[in-house]
Amino acid sequence: MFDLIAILSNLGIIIYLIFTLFTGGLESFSSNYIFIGYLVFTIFTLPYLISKVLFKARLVSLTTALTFFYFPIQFLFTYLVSRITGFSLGELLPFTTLFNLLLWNLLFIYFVLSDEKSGDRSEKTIKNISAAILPGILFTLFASISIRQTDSVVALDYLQHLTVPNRMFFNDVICFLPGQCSNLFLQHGYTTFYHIILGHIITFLGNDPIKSIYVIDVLYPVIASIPLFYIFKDLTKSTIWSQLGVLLTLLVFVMGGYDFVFFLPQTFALMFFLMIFRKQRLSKKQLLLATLLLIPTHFIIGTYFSVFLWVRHILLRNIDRKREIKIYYLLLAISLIFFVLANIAGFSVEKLIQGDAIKVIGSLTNPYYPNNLTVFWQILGPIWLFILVIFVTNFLERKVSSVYINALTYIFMISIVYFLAPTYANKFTIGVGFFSVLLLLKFLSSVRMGIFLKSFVLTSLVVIFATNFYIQYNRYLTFYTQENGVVSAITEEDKEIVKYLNEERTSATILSDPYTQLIIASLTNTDTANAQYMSLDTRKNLLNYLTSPTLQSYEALITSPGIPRNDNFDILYTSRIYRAISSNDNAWIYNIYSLSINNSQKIGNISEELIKDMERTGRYPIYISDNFILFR
Amino acid sequence: MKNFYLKIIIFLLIILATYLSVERYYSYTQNKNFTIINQRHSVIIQLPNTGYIEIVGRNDHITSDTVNEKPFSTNTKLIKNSNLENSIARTNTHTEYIENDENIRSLSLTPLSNEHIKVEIDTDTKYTYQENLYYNIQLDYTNKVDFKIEGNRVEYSDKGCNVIVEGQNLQYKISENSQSVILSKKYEPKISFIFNLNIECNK
Repeated sequence: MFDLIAILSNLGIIIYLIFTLFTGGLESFSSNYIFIGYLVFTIFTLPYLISKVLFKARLVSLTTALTFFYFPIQFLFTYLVSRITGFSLGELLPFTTLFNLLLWNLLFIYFVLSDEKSGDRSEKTIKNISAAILPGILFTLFASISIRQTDSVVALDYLQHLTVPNRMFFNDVICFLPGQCSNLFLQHGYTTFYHIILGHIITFLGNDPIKSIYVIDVLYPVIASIPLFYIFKDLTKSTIWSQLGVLLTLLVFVMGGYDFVFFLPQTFALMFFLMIFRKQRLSKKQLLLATLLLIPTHFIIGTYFSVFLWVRHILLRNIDRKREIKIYYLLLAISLIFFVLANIAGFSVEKLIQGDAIKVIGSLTNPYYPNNLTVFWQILGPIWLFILVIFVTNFLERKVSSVYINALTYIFMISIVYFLAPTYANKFTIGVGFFSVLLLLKFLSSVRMGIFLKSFVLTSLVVIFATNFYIQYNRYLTFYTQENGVVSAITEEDKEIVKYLNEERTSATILSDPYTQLIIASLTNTDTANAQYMSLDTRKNLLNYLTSPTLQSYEALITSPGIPRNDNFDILYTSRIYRAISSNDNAWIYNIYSLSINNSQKIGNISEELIKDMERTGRYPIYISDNFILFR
Repeated sequence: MKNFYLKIIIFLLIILATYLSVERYYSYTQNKNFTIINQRHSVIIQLPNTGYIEIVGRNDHITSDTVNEKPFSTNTKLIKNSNLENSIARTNTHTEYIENDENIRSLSLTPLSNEHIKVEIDTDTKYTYQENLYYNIQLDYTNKVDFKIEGNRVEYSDKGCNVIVEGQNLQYKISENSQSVILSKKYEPKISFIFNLNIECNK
C-alpha cells in the first residue's frame, strides 16, 4: 500500500508539473512552490536512493552520508565537460539538475518495483519513511502557521551563501572555497560542498531565491526527520516513541546553531553526523571516511563532530565499569563547574586570544555573565532540569547504558565549549536538542509507567518543548521584523534595486550601506565592497564622504579596504544611509553586525556638494525610486 | 521501589517544567505596561498612555559648585544590541554602549516582568576629584508631572500610569521644568547606578 501511495503521489506531482508547463510555460516553474518543493525533496533524498539502490546500504548510514559526495563529483565532471566542449557552466548546470530529477525518478521506480517478488522491502522502507516524516510535517505546519510568514527569509546567511553558486553559474568559475569566488566571506569556514547543493535548488534552474529559501526552511526539518527517526527507532524499538523523539528534537531552537531550522553548512554537517552516529561501532577506516566528509562540510563544526566520534570510539566505548563511569561523570561535572566559574570570573577565549577577530567585528560576539547563563538556560528551558536529574540518577546507577554516556558527554562538551566562549560560542551548542531528547527518551522508556501517566508525560513534553521553541524562534525574529510588521530580511523597497540591477547589469562594484550591499550581491550577482562584512574603516569613510564630500574624504574612501583600485565603482545612496545621516544614527560604523533592515524612509534632498563632487568623479545620479539614488 | 520514586520525580518535574513554560509564555505574550525602544541616541520606555521615559547619555552631567560638564555630550562610538544581527542580540536585555574618547558609559535595561525593569548604568570617566562633585543621570518624561520623593524612591502618576523609580544609595532631584528626575551619586571614576523602574498602567 505504501509503495502504491508513493508512486501515485510522485505521479500526481509529475502530472501537475506537466499541466503547469502547458498552462504557465517553463518560466512559471521558477516561482512555483510545488516545483521548488519537489526539487528540494528530490535533491535532498537522491543520495538516500543512490545509497539504497546502488550500494545496497542501510537507508541512514555512513554510506548514505558519503553518497552526498555525488553532488561535488557531478559538479567537477560538469566542469571538465565544460572545459572540453567549450560550453559554459551556466549552459550545462541546468541540465545536471534536470538529470538529478530524472535519476531520482528512475531510481525510485527501480527501488519500488525491483523487489516486488523478493520480500517487498521497499514497502517497509517507505512505511518507515512515512512514519519518520509525519512528526516533521506536524512540526513544519506548526512553525509555518504560528511563527513564519510566507516567503520570509530570516537568515542573512542564505543570502551570503547564495553568492557562491551564483558566481560559479554566471561567471563560469569553479571554487573549492567560498572565498575564492565571493568576497562576502571573512574566513574560510567550509568548502563549497554545501553551496553546490544550494545551487541545484536555487541558482542552476533560475528559481526565485526568496521562495526557494522559504521552501527549504519548510522542508528541511521534514527531511531531517528521516535520520532522526531511524536513530530513535534503534533506541526505543517503538514507532510512536521515535516519532515523539523526532518531534521534540525539531522543537529545540538552538540560537546560533539552528540545528534543523535552517539549511546551513553547520546544520548540513549535523545531518551527516547523525547518519554516521547511528552506527554504534565504527571501524577506524569508517571513522576516517566520516572525518573526511564532516570536515569539508564545516571546518569547525565538522571537526567538532569528528572529535566526538573519535572520542566515542577511543574512550567512551571502553568505559563500562561502575567505578570508571563514576570517575568519568565526576570529571565531566568538575570540568564544567570549573569552566563556568572561570567564565563568571571573566575568562573567555574570545577576550583572551581572539582579539584580532573582535577588532574586525567591532565588539564581543558572546553574551557574558549573567546574560550568558540566561541564554544557555533558554536553549532547553526547564528541560535542563530533566538533564540534571538524569545525570544524578545515572551517577547513582550500578549499570549505565552507552546511550547515556554518549549523550551526557556531548552535552557536557557543548556546555564547556560554550563557557570557554570562543567567538560565536552559541554555534557550538548545535545538536544539544538531539542529545537531550535521546537522554530523555532513554530515561523515560526505562521507567515503567501506566498508560495514563505515559500519555500525561508525552503531552506535557510536547507542550514544554513547543512553548520554548515558539518563544526562542520569535525572539530570534526580532531583528527581521520590519517597521511595517513584515518579518523578512527582504524589504519591499529593496526589490526595486534588485529589479533595476538585474535589468541594467554592471561590472562596477556597488558601494552602499552593508545591508543593501548584501541584498544586491546575493540577488543580482553584482560585486560589492564585502557586502555585510564591509570593513569598519570603509563604513566610516563612506559615511564621512557622504556627509562631507571633499577631495580628502574621497581619497580616504577610495583607498579603503574592499574598494576596487581601478575606480570602477558606483555609489548607491539608500534610505538606510539617508536615515543614518539625517538622524545621526551611526551605530553601523562601529560594529560589523550592526545593520539596519528598514529602508522605507523616503530620501529627501541630498546635498548639492555631494552631487557636484560625484560629477567631479564622473558619476551622475540615477533616481531609481524614492529609496535609491545610484551615482553611476 | 526505585521505579516508584522515579515516577514521582518525573511527575514533579513535569509539573514544574509545565509551570515554568506556561509562566514564560504568559510573560512573553501578554501586553506589557511598556515597550522599550533602543535606537539612535537614547533608550526610550514607551508607556501605553502615549508618554515615554527617555534615558539619554548626552544628558549625563558632572556637577559641583564650580563644575558643570557633560561627559557624553558627543560620542566617538555607540553600539546598541537592538540592531545587531548576531547571537549577542538574543538576550532579553537592551544594551547601549557609548564611548567619548576616554569616557565610557554602558547601560543595560532588563525587563523583569510586565511591570518591572531593572536599569544598570556603569560609567568610567576621568575627571579630577573635587569636593561635592556629583555624577548625575537624568530620566526625562514627556509631560510635566508632580514627582514625589519618598526615601529611596521617586513616584509620579500621569494619564493612568503610575511610575516608581527605586534605587539604593541614590540622591534624587527634580528638574526645574518638572519633567525629569535626576539621579545623583558622589563622583568616582567608576560608578554604577542600579535602580528599578516599576510601571503600572490602567488597562
